[in-house]
Amino acid sequence: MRWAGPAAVFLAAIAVALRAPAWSPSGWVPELPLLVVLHVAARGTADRAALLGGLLGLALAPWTAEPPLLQALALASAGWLGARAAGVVDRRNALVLFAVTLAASLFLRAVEAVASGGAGAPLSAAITCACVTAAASFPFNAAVARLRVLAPLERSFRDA
Amino acid sequence: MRLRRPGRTPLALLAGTVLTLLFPRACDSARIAAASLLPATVPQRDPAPVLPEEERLRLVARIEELERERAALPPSEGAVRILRVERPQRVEAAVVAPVLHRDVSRTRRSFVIGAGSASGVARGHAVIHGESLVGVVDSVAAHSARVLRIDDRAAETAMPVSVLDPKASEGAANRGVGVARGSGDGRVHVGFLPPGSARPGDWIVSAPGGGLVGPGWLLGVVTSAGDDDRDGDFEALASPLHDLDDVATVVVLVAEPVRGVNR
Repeated sequence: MRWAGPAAVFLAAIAVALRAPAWSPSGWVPELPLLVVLHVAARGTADRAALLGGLLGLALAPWTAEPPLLQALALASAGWLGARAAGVVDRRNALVLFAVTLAASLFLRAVEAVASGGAGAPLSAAITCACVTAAASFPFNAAVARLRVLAPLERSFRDA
Repeated sequence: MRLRRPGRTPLALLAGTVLTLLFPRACDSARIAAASLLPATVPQRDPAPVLPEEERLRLVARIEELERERAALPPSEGAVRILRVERPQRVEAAVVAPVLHRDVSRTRRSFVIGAGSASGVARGHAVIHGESLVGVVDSVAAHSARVLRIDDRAAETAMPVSVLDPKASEGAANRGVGVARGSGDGRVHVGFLPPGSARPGDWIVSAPGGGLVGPGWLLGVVTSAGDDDRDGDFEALASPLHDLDDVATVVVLVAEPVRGVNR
């Protein structure tokens, strides 16, 4: 039962990612997979965030026309870089979380644009999505930390 | 592999990047097959009710009657004639397929349908909804396939198109030929047009040379046209006839490649 919480969050992140294009094509739904990865980056280790990002990306691979490893690589890199960036400042600070999430979301869009030869998402949708995701970062982190659903992944924070 | 050892994670990410660059289409069939195994994330419409045999025969007779009336009509003019005459005659079958999943990526416009190579679907086949083209089959598994929408910005969706004036008389309907490619935001961008050859309200129709997508399929209606960036390339933006985010059922036109040409 120890991993029931992380498994539930993992499945919820995939479910929201699958539904997001239908709910709001213009990017008004926060990127839950990215929020989960950055939560682990802020309260766990960079390696665990990268691993979780990779697994989430691989789980999403069947539902996209992108190259198969692209989502996994982008989320893993965002988690790893996010943990490193947050590590140099107070990683639980709301403003730091906001800035890191905003940068990570824009990083994902940039990776997708480069991978598809400049065929990225419309800039307005990318910025909307990044802002919505960044705005949701602190409440999400606080709620998940309070519910302790990702506790097995957070435990290694003291080792970071 | 123990990721906790310093330096392993960046190496793993680098190796993954190289693999992605080397094999961008790896495991395509397996991915589509995996997607089709899970419940559809696109709401499925109720199937059409089965008609009683008597009603079906009555409708078949009515269709035949209308076909006879249409054949007796004088030749149509302008754009309508072009649409009617240029429709591909080499379509072998029309496969009706439900849309199962939409693309999770915010930069891509594609969907997975519930028909695959077992039904004759192959890469490059045209996918229509009603009277208009909505996409092109990109990769295929046995019982499912991925369709790139016409508004996806991938190079695979680029195709030659004609601009038709729906109100012009015969001979003057075809305003010019250009290349259409998805704009990534729900519209179709048409470039390389002759100056002044498109106006709002004109039709964008597939032209010969589009591989397995036959000529004469409507892509959308021009919403704006011009050379705003003043680069000498007259461009037009067209909106598809249907909301492509709302399409739940499509028809795949199974066609034979012409002289080995396949997209």
